[in-house]
Amino acid sequence: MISGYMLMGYIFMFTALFGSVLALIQRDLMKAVILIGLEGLAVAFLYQTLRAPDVGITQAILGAALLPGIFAITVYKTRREEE
Amino acid sequence: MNLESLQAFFVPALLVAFPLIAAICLNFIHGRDRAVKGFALISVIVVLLLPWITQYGVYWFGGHPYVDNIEGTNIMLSKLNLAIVYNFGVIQKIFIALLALLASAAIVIHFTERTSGVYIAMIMLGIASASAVIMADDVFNIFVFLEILTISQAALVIAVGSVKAYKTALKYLILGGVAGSAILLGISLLLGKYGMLNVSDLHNVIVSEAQSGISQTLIIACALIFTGWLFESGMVPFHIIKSDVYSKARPSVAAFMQTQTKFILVAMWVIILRLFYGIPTFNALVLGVAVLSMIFGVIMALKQTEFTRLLAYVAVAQAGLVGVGLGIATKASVSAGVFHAINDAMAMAILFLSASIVLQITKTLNMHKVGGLLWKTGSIPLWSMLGIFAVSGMPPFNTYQSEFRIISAASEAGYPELSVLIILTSIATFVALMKGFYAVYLKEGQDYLGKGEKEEAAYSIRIEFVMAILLAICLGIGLFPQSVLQYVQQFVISLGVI
Amino acid sequence: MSLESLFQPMCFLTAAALVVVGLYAVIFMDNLLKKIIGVTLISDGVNLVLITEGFNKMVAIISPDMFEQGVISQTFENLKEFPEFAAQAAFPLPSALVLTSIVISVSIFAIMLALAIRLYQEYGSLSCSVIFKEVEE
Repeated sequence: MISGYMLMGYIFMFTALFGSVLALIQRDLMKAVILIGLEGLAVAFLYQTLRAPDVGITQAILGAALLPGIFAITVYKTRREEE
Repeated sequence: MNLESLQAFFVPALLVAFPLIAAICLNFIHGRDRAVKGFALISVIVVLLLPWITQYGVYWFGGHPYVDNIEGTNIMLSKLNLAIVYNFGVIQKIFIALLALLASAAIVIHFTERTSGVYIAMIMLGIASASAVIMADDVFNIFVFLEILTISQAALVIAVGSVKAYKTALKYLILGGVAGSAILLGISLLLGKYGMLNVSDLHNVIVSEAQSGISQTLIIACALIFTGWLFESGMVPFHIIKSDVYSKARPSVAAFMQTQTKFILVAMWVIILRLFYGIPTFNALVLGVAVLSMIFGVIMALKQTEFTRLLAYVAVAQAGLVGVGLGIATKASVSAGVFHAINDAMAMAILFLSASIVLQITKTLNMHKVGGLLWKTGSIPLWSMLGIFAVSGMPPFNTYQSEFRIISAASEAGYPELSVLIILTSIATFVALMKGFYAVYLKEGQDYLGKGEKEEAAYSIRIEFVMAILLAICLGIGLFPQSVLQYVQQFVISLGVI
Repeated sequence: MSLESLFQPMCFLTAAALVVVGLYAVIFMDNLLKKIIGVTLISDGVNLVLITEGFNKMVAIISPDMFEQGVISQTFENLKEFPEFAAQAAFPLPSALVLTSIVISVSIFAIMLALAIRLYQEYGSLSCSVIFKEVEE
């Protein structure tokens, strides 16, 4: 039987993939930004599953908090609905 | 503290560390003009002096020990796996000294307009990253500093402030991000297969593995790192974005940027040659890309209407000529190619600096609008004409020596058609540059020639001074080529692969 | 072919899929923000390739006194020698590459987004066909 760690790993992999594909289909840019944040968080958890916790912390801070933050500032200053 | 220990302080890592620290400090003191000017002058003097007093040698940042059996026994032997290595020899000294000269020229010319600490910090970042890529002997350093170079060049384009510059910088950053990821993916394939990042170690392992055939992973890694090399050196698919970057930045700093590109072309080619020499079509690939960029660069230079864009396409074509010399891959042609990189960087810098003077006087670079500067700018037309001779490869200048050697090496290696192509490129370069010279100096100007205009237009003496120095160096190397060529030939022999 | 042993190849496949999706976004999408999101995805995919390469079954962070007396692990009870342990631990070198790469990418994206805001103020739209329309000089 598969261990819990690896099961969570598979869940994060699928979340990252679906999150990225869904983010690119959106017409509303704010939703796309939130989905990219979700994908960054899933990849951060995936790094922890792959036994690299230092990279996981860095990706969680930069790729799931900072980068969606500055994306959100950009969407706020430009326009929200665009394809 | 005797002279020995003082000499031992100047390690090659200082060539990268000092400009980085200077960039950070300049960023902090950005608002205060006099402090920025003083600090920038001090760091310019130090950066000019540092390549000449740094010791030669190999410098490594620690390694990690690994244990290995001696064959057939149970004795464990600890070896040192060199991780991050800097090589500093004569060729690296020449490259970095030339980079420092042109960067100092760009900084000193920048003081005539206004003083911006962030701008000078970006030039310092450019010096640091180009020096690191030239000196590095491991792929980790190259990846990190190529990304920093992308940021520095984009920032120097953004500093101009026009909307076209913003568009060019955005395109350059997107392409730079993708190319950097391609290099990182190639490095990851090499790391996964062989477990080390040091180029000399990788070379030994790949050569010993190539006895039993070339592996597929190596070919894919070669393709990815080759694509990254094409972007960084402005070869065929990316020649348009590179010439856009040269033309949209200020011309004095474009002289510095095109020097960076040519030297990074040579430095990265040395690295990927030592890694991927075993792949059969590698040299043919480099030669094909270089010939295409040479031809496209010259053809597009002939139809430009903006002066710095014309110069930028000529610079791309000359980088292609250097690539041709490297792609033929015999000892004579590679030394001629590296020699041509040094010569042509100086010669193109003269022309870019003259474009900087034109921009100062007429505030535009559109060749339809400028004109009539022949009697208004002192002896600048004379230096520009000599610069045009220098770029097109006329004797007695240094580019004549290097182009002649590339042409003879091409026909010796069995490619006589290539010699004809190089000669045609040289002629077309001369035609394009003469068109630019006519448009700027000889024809009648329209916009700014009003009644009561003074005889002499105002321009800065510093630029003329730097142009005269560069012309003197070009002439000196042209009359005595062996003084530089012997070091280049020793460098090519020490590569060990060709 | 249990699911456990397929974990590392599936991670490589996810990374490859992220790179392909990102490349599609950079080349084909019209909106500027979606192009920048594509570059984010490409760099995420490449970093995942690097970390997956270093994966091995066991990693531990040991303190100096544990190093003196040898390491006892949960998976392999007989493992007491440090070189044996080091030969089976996860490879630490890709972590260094990835940390540098993530930090540099974030600074590049910050500059790109600032430029995107400025271009929107100039052109009024974020569509690439409007901004990068070829103008006859």
